[in-house]
Amino acid sequence: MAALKALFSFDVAPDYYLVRIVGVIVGSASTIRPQVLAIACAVCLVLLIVEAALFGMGIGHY
Amino acid sequence: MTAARRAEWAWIPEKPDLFRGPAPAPLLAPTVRWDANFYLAIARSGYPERRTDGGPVYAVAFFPLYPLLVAALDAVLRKTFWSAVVVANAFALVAALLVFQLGKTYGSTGRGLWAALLFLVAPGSHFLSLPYPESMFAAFLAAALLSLRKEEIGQAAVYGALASMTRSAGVVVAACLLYVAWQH
Repeated sequence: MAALKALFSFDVAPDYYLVRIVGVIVGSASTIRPQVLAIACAVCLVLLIVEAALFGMGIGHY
Repeated sequence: MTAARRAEWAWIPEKPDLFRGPAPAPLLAPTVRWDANFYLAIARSGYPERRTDGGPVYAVAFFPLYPLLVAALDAVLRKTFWSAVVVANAFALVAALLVFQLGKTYGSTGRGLWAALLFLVAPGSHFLSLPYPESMFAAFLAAALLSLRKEEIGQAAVYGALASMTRSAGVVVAACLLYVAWQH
């Protein structure tokens, strides 16, 4: 239970989230409207750039 | 592997975010951080032996399939860092294609494309291009789920086993197999 608690309290490294979301992504893409998906993609892209920059600079965060 | 070479790759507890071995190319240096150090060290010199002081051997928490493939490519290219990045990015491409195929089974080609796009722009997706096993894991997981959709249970089990050799979270495929078994 501690692992699940850590996951949902955002207390694990970012790479742990990535490996758990393949199914969620496919499910979202098959049920959510394309307009909403486009907005989600844009927001994700901004967050991805931030995450990549933090990683490249060696700034760890949870 | 000589003792000097092993020491060169030794983990430095006070500097977990710095690469302590021979310097990577400047282009790759920002990608070699945290867990990447462990995977590269395992690819170069295998898992370390038990410590004489009884302390923890952190490398055993890192699963073997990714460093194994990196070591195999490194044997050909003789460039460990580039080998690690090439393996990760090749599997990222495969994973995106499999997520596309998986998405397509739930609807149209457009849905598959949205799924692949979401996968590639997810906020943690930079790990797919780094010397980490995330892309390899995602590829095996997507392949297992795709096999389950096609009711190819044996194939799904093989991909699940490969995913479990990549990351501990691969055990989730066993849960999927049990769900499919329960449905039947």
